Parts: sequence; C-alpha cells; structure tokens
Amino acid sequence: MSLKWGYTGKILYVDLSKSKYWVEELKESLAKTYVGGSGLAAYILWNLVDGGVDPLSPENPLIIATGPATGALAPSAGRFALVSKSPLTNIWGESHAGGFFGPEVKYAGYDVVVVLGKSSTPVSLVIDDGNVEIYRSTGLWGLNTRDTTNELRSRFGKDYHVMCIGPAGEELVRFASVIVDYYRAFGRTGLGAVMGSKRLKAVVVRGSKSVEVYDPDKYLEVLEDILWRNSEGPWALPAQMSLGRYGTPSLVTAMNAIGRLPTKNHWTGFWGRADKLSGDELLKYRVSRGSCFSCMIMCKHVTKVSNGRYEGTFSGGPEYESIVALGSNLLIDNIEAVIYMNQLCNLYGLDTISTGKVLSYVFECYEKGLISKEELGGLEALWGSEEAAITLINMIVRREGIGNILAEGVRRASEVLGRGYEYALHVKGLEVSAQDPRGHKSVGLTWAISVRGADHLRSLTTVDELGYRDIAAERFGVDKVDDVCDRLSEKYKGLIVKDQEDLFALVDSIIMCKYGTMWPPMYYFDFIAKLLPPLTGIKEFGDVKNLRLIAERIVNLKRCFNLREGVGKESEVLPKRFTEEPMPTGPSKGQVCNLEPMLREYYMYRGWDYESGLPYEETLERLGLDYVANELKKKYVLPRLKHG
Amino acid sequence: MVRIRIHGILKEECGVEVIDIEGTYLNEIMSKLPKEVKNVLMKYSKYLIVLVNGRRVYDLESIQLLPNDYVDLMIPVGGG
Repeated sequence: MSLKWGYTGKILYVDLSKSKYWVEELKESLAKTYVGGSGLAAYILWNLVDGGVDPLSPENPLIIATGPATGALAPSAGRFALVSKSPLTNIWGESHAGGFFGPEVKYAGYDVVVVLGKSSTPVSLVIDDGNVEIYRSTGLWGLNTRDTTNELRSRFGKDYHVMCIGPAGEELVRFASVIVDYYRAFGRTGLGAVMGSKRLKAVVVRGSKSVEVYDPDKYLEVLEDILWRNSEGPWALPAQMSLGRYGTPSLVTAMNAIGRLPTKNHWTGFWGRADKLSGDELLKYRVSRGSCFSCMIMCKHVTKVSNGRYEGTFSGGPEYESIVALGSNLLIDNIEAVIYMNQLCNLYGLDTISTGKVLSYVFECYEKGLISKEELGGLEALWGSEEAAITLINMIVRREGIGNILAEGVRRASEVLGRGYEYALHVKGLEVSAQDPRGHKSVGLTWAISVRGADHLRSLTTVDELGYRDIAAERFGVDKVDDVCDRLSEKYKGLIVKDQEDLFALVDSIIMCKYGTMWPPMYYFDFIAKLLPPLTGIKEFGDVKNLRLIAERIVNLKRCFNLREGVGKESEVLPKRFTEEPMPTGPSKGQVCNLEPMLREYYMYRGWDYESGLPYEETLERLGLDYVANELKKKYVLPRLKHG
Repeated sequence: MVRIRIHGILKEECGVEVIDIEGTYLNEIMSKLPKEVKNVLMKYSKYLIVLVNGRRVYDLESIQLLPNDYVDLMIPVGGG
C-alpha cells in the first residue's frame, strides 16, 4: 500500500556518477517497520552497502532522511537526518540538524534523498518540487559555507534552503561537517567528507507541496497538548528560562557545579573560570534569537563580536558542546575567542567537538613533550593559547604540516604520530563530547555502546544528571529512584541507558528534537503513540509496545551494521583517563568510571551475549531482523539462548 | 563560611552571583540570604534545584554544612 499521510511516499535516488535520478515508492510496510528518518535510513544503508566499503568511495551512499513529523507542524519536529558510513570511524555515521531544510525536503515531495556515486566535477543537487537538477558548481569549490550559501541563494532565490560543505569537506578532513542555512550543522562523524568525496558541494531545496494529515481534528488535539506543555505545563517555565533564554550554553555553569565540565582535555570536570563562558556571559553578544521550524523553545542564538581582536565575528551559536570543546577544554576563557573559533569551524565546515578534542590532544602532547615546537611549525601549543588554537584550525583545514595528520581525527593522528595514545580521547574513533563519565557514570555506558562512538545524542540520560526524581519514578519505579538519580552510582544505569537509547531511536526516526525528549523530558513513548496515528493513519503506531519493538529493531540494526564492519564489543572501551585517573578536582573528585557492571546490565536488557558481544539469534528473530541475522552468520556464529 | 553560587536566570534576577554566609544548617543559611535573593528564589521555588558540593539535596532542614562547603542554586537545565 502507498503512504498518503505524514509521508510523501517517495524516495529520490540521485546517481552522481551517471548524472541521473529516479524516484521509488516508500512502501507502507517499510514505514511501519522502521518509521522513517534514522530508522529508515538504517534499512536503506544496510541494503545498499556491503561490509568493508570505503566511506570515501563512490560506493558509500549519502542519505538525507526526514520523518513523518517533519514539516507536519509538530513543535520540536523540524529536524532531519544525514546518514552514511563514517569516514572518521569506519562504522555507522549519523548526524541531525535543525532549521527549515528538512521540512522543505518534504514539501518538495520526498521523504528521503539518497545520493549515490561520485561526480567528476564539483556539483550541487538542486531539488525544486518535482524537478531535480545536477548543477555544475566548479565556481563554488573552495568557498566557505557562508559564501557558498550566499551564491546559491543569489542564483536560485532566497526561498531556497542550502546545505553545503566548506573547504574542510573538500579536503576530506575526516571530521568535516555539513552546514545548513548558514548556522545549523550536521556536525558529527565527518559526513562533510563524504559529500566532498562525491564532489557534492551543496544540496539546495525548495518545495511548495504540503504534508497531508490523516485525522486533522485529532492531530490538532495533540498539537494543542504540545502547546500547553510548552506554554503552561510543568516544564514550560524552566525550558523558557534556561534553554529559551540562554540556549544550550545554560549548561556551562550547571555542569561545572556538578563537576562534569570537561576541562583541559578532560583532565578534570571543574574549572574556576567557567563563569567566563556561561550562558549569561554569552548573552552580551547575542544579536538575535531564533527557532527551528515550528519550535516554541527557540534555543538558537546568533552572536556578534563588535570590538577588539575578533571584531566582525558573526555566527550562530556557539552551543554548549562548542564552548566546552573550544573553551574550557583548551583552558581558553575568552568567550570572544570561542565565538570566533566557532565561526571559523562553521565557515570551514568542521565539527567543533572533534576539532576541539584534536586541539586539546596536541596541547597535552606538547605539554608532556610528546610533540615539539618544530613539528608544529614553530607554534607553541600552550594551554589557553587562542593563537595556537586558531593557527592549528587553519592548518587542519588546509592540511598544512602537522595539520595534514590532525585532519585524520584524533585516533588516526595518534597512531600516525605513534605518540600520546592516552591523550587521544575517543571511543570507536569519534572524539568524546562535552561530558565526563567520572562525574556522570551513565555517560560512560552511553559513550561505550553508542553505534557512532563517544556520543551525547543517542542515549544520554538526564534523569540522573541533576536528579529528576518524579520522572525517574514514573519510568523506572519508585523503588529504583535513589539509585537511578544518583549520577555517581553505576546501579540501574544499564536500564536507563537502554530505555533512553530506545526512545531516541524512535525520536530520531519520527524525527523530533532532543529538546523536549532528552531535556526537558516532556515527551515519552506514550506521547509518540498519541502523535503518530492521527498524523499517519497507521494504527500500529498507537501501541506503545509496538513502538518499543520498532525502537529496539532500529538499535539492533545499527549495531549489526557495525558488527558487519567487524566492530563489536572490543570497541566498547573508554579512554583510560576516565577509568583509571581519578577526577582530580571539583565535586566529582576521586571518581573513576567503572564500565563493566553497567555494560553487563545493558547487555542483559538488550538480549545480547556479554561474552561475544553479539545479539542472540532469538533477539534478531523477535525483532524481525532475520535478513540481518542471515548476513551476520557469514561472519559470526550467532549465540543462541540456553533454555532450561 | 558557606559559599552560595547562583546560576542562570536566578543570578540574572538576583543581580548577584556569589554570597558567603555563616551557618550550620542549609535552611538556616537560606534564611540568611538577602531579601531580594529570597524573593527571586520564592518566585522560582517550584523549580529550584539545590546542590551541596555538587550533589542535589531535597530536604533542606536536615542538611548540615561545614565551612568551605558550597551550595549551588539553579532552575532545571539538562541534556548536554
């Protein structure tokens, strides 16, 4: 059956090698099984590539995916996903961005766009309603993301939305980002390099169609509930007074207060100068506040530096993750320098998180005498040096000198240099995000099990962050509240991380924002079961048990993608900094992260064998992933549950 | 002396970031806060998060503090 409501029912395929495109139907059975967005992209990617494909080869597809909620006016549902095999990690690559581009893809008539092959010359893909054009873009190659966006909007019109790469993606920097409409970023896992490898400078989209709703009256009732939650509900005021007023930078001093603010390459989790990078400090530079499509939280800020060394800096953000990566992580307390470096990364198309962690690796190696001034081209990589950080960013994007090695990401860089492995902070090759598993134990599990590596967006739990007892009681039972809410205890963290990972697998497939689902924890499985049926007409989405099953299916499929690449349990380890070096200062002083008990508990809830790290065959059968099991059996002996 | 640190919107509305107060119990210390600060905390009382040395506390009366302890006051944030 074809899809009528919540979906366009169409997948656009574009083959850049052959300069041709075609449209395939999105079958209802697939939507029922994987929902859309990230889940559907997982199914498509699994089927399009074989294990071992080079992420920078024409054989690696790039998938732009929307979900049923995208463009359907549900607040917090303006986001979309970009999926491919990651050139940074060689495993599952996924990133999400907000703004207005995702809804426009739906309005142009497509749920998903799959880009195949590789162009011989730089091109942009232009999607204008039903029309598709592969637009010669040689003149755009070399431009930064702002100039590229300006050029394309000047050529096609200001009502077109643009996602593009900058010089970093062109140079195949393995942590290159994709920038959407100037300020939104597909930051993680280096998907900008995948675009660069395809010589795809940009994707431009405009649409004028609409998203049809199955039961408009019932759907409006759900939207009214969302309006109430955002304007009058119990989380409305905190969300507006923290996220709305300060954006994600509201987290800087809060995370410092609990001893979980990464400082000096994650040496510690507390910094006495953190207030210089706080949300209210950043407010002084804010020139506008905006939102993603149809969102009431409005956490997006644009900042401008009007005086001094960084005068003229004007960019979206910086967000919490970028402030930490480029600020406290490098002991840089000049917020103007952080705003500038954030802009530089956005213009070049670099992931700020990975960039910051590559720089802090260099700084620590320099401090320990493992990298010399000569190797850095005469640069002194001293903690707190804005000049060193900015120079290194420029060297990375141009692949100059040691920048050519650093452009490979912190894991490869430490391997090539053969030094400072212990200061190269990553999990599965993805540089760690702005948390610390010593001060928030569940983060250790989150990072270890995430399919894309050290990740804060696939299963980060917030009930234990500042202790939200009511939510913990509702979701996990009153008897578990004390342990669940204790961020320094490993107990029940397998349970809550598994639950959050399932929720986010669904959230990333619908697609909704983490704000509203991660924090504040306003929307849970029961809400999604109310949202989807009147939107899509798919009654099965109204059953919470079924939604949980779909979520588990998506999580397992992505894990199996990594297993097919030969990456499994042996990769679920944390840098020794978090497991062997006790937190030296601050509220989490003396803590280390003991991963093993959390991992065991998590495996139990997942239905995976702890010894081999493989899912039990029965688990895959229960989830309808027999086709996945059959392929994995070519590589592994899948364990079976022992009965009796 | 116990150090009170005030964050985010509370800091903005109170107009103060750090206050040092003498006292043994948390509720005693809170009662010694300046009136303007107490008014702001009252306004956000439904949402107020109190941390003592980085750990969240719920029952202010029973919390005994030592000199050099610090108390953080904020409204809910999360997710980073």
